[in-house]
Amino acid sequence: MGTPLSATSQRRIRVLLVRQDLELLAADLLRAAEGGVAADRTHAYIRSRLLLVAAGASGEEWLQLRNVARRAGTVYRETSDVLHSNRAFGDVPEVLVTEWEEVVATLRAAVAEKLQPMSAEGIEQ
Amino acid sequence: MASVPPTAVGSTRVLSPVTYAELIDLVQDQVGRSYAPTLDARRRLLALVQEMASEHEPDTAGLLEGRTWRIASVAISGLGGVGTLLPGRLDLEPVAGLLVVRGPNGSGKTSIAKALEVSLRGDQAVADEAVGDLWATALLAEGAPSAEIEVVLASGAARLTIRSELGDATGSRCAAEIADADGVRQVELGRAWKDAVQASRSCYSYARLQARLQKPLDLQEFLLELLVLGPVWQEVRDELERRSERAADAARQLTKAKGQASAAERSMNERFRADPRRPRPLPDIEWPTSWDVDIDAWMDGNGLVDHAEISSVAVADDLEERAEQLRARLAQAERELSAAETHLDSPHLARTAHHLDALAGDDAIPDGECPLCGSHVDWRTHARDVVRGVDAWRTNARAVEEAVGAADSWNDQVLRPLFGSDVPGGPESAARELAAAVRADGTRAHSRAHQAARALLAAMSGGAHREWLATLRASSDAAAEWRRARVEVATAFVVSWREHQKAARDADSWTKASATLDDIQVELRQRRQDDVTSGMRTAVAAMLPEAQIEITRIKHEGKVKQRRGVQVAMTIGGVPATLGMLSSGQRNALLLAPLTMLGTTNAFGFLVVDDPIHALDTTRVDRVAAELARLASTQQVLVFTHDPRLEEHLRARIPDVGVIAVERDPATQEVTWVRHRTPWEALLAEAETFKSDSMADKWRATASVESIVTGLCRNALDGAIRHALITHAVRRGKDVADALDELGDQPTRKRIKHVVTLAGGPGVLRRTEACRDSHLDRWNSGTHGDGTAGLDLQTEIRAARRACTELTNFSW
Repeated sequence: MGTPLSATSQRRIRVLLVRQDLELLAADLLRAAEGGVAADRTHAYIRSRLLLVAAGASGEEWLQLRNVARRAGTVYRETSDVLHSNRAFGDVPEVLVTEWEEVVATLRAAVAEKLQPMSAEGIEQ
Repeated sequence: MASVPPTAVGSTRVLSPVTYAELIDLVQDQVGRSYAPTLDARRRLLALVQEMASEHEPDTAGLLEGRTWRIASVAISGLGGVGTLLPGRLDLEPVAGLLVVRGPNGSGKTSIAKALEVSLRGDQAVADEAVGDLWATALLAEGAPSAEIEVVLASGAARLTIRSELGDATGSRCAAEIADADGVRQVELGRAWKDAVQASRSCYSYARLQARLQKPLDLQEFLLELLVLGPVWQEVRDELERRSERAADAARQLTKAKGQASAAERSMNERFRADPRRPRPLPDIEWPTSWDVDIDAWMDGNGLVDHAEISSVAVADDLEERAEQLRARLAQAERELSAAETHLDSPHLARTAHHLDALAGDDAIPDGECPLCGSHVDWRTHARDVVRGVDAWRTNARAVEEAVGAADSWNDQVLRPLFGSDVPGGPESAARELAAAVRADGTRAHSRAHQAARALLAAMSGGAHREWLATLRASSDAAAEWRRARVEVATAFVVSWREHQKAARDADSWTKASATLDDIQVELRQRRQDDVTSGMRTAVAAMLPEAQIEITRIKHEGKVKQRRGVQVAMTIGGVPATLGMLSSGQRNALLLAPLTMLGTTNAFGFLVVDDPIHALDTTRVDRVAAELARLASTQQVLVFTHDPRLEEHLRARIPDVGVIAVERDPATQEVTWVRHRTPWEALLAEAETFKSDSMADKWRATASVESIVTGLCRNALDGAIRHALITHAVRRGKDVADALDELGDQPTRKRIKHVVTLAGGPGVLRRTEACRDSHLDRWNSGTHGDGTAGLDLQTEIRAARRACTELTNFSW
């Protein structure tokens, strides 16, 4: 048994998971956009890739999804700053990590809804 | 200005001041729950509140009721750091949403925020308020003799223009003008307006707050203000206390007057009771025990009026003389009666005499022989002598009877009242005998009454009762003096009564009314304390999430009417703590907390926040941004900041937040403002980025890219149309909300048609129409995921930008 992780370390790991989740979701969106071709998890265009969640939507849904994508993009940048210690976040507060996780959850739900018809058509295969 | 959808973050607590209408409802509720002892007092309180409500300076200009003012524009010159504003007028979208005014320190942001507050208040008090000497800011720009501010507010189709001129030498002048469906007219920003501005807390300045809060006690005072029930409450409280005090003072005056009169009466009574003239004692005055009696009836009942008949002796000056006259009259009548009786021999012959008189007058009877006895005498002459004697007797007997009657009357009216006094020695038994005899047998001569009258008058004419009469006479004078003194004593009290009784009568009622107001205040204060505690707890948890600070109780200290301070119970990490333990950053976050409790029910649908993130770390900046974004869902929020972090965090929540950048030239004091990026510009910039990224990321070929880019183009065009409609409505004095409602859920094509019509018809907005004709179908298709691969997205973005620019720059 090793030393249990401190709350601070646990939160940093959760921040890392948030970042990874966003990269995976961005890759999923790109893969869907490109018709099922495997996409890498490059972090260079994550914010633009996330915007793909709004593709094909219209009206209020388009606006809502675009805002979800923008918020997720901002969270991605925030996690980057935390993990690279670019900002003096120090011990990143629980409330922020929780909020970021909620943003990821919202995005995941939107992506799942978007990809569902594609999965049914066997695009994944 | 970007609009944002409402979020569920936080809770809005309305800490608005109590209004007259609410207070009337509260008192009416108390009246409904009253029983007899308090009903009158509560009705009185209700009448007072209603009276004050009717006298309260009404919102005569109709500036508050049913209005939701938002800021449409502001123009400033000569104020603080702003010598001149370029362009001269800063136009804002008077709708709910968020606008960031950013600029480095000293760029004039605070001066613009201050100008808004000064103008809203209608005076320059805000400039001098709670700012220490050291940090006192100059009101006027360097070298400017005066400052001018013009703020235009919009509510529906109404426009309120407030022009303020501030000068060191001339003081401040403010003029307001409203333009609505009834035309344009000057209006007075009266007290109702200023109270509403004060209560709305629509302007937040960290710098001013910081200047004000130097000690933990100041922070307590700041929290106490949240518990205050407002100016209307205080007005009613003050007026009630004034009336209550006036009534109590009147009651005190009356009690004092009664006490003094009562003491004077006691002293007077002692003096007269010891008077050797032995005046007949007067009854003690029964002083009123409540202030509700009829004073005239009271005076009457206590013999304190001039015409009052107090049974007292009054010895006539001619009493002895009159007694002697009566005695002489009776004696004379008796003497004459006695003579008549002698002549007649017998009083019993009267009837016979009458018969004789009749016979003597009968010529038919012969003279020679007496018809009674048959003797031969001169019977006719003799009979006539007898008859004359009987007549004389009858006359004298009547004179005696009348003399006795006169004696009886005198006895009854003059003499017998004298026996009511405590002075002994009078002919009381003789007088009583005369009265009794008269009642029994009448006043005939030789009757018991005749004898009693003679005895009484004889007694009175003797020397036996002279001393009694002398004593009695002296006593009578003293009694009159006593009575006069008694009236004088009472008069002082009655004068005070007539002056104070009406108010004093209400003292008890006002006391109970005051108690009722106390009850309501306790209830309201409890509710307010609960709200403030709950609101602050939520706000502090939102602002300082990881600090484990919990506000457990914010409570008034002191009794109901006291303003002794506020108790703040709090814990840090579960351990009891005090405000003094907060770091400066935590304290600053705490000061922002009331912002999150602002209500939206007042007439001011905007919030001006100057430098809200002073000394806050990035987490706190993020939290403040979250709260401001939440507030912007229902209010027009203007945030002035030098800190790019705030803009960044706000943009994270509201992607197309409006930004105005300000710059100041210290040499010329010119403050230049530039709309840094309109919402449509942000969208098109985003489209450019997306397009470039997709090319760089090598997924440019997907239809999704087209979908996103054309979606952003169409969204940008819709945003520009919205902006155009707002500008058109503001400039044409129309209701902005109505103008936006006209768009409804219409598709972009119809929106373009609508805006083209507003611009004057086809051919005016050529680029917008070109967009509609050449691009809109593709944008719509792309938006719905039916994009055309290989589309020149740069051309699409350029077309959108041209149309949006045209709509923005058009002279609406």
